[in-house]
Amino acid sequence: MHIARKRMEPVKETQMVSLADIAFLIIFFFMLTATFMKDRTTVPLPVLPKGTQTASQITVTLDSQARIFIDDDQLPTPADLESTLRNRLAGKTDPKDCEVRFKCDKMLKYKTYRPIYEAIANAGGVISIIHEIK
Amino acid sequence: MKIGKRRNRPEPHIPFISLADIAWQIIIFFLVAATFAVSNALNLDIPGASGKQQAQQAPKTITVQATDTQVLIDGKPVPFAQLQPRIAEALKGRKTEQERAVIVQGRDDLTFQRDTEIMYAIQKAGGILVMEEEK
Repeated sequence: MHIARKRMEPVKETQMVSLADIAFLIIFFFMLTATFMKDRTTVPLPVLPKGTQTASQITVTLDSQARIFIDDDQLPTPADLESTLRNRLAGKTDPKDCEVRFKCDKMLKYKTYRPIYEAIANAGGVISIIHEIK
Repeated sequence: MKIGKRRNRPEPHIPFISLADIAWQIIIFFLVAATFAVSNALNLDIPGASGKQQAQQAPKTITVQATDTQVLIDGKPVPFAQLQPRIAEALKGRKTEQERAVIVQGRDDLTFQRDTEIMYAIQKAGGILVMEEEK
């Protein structure tokens, strides 16, 4: 009786090397297309029910010590804020493009934050008050 | 002389499967940790001193005066919870933007939290915000 000799077949395996390549390509894509937000100042925000949303890239912050920031840069006066915003908003006509994220400490008093409203409005901006959701 | 029989050794290779696993883990981390730059906002389009047209006032514009503890509609005190329905009632039948304008006069002690609540109530009631300083 002839018994077939068992041959040593190579182990079958799936080629996974290309999967790693694809994964790393996706990582590079994420890293290159990511827009890093320049807004690192945190203030306690007012709490309101859910409203509209904004994706504006310009952030004005007024903290508890009434310091004014545009993105991460501190500005001495509301007049400086107005001129800086005027430059940033130059040539923009669509109200969506003119939105300015305004982050303000919820306990600040009217006389403190009112000049910021005026500065943004005078520069041609639409104020988007950033808030937490109730 | 004894010559050893040459054995069929498997070719050496670097295992790349774990690399793919690590890469996918990083992708999932990026996706989960990403904060999309969209924030909840209350939009105010206030006419500025320059560049935009000043808000035109209709003869019977509603005025809301606010301190941190009290809200008045056209001089009459209103419980804060009743602000939105009262403004909605006052705006009934008013169609044009000028007629629907609601002037907000804040006092110095008005906190930002209270101010945003008032503005939210006015917008919900269908009013168009016009800011004005308390004289």
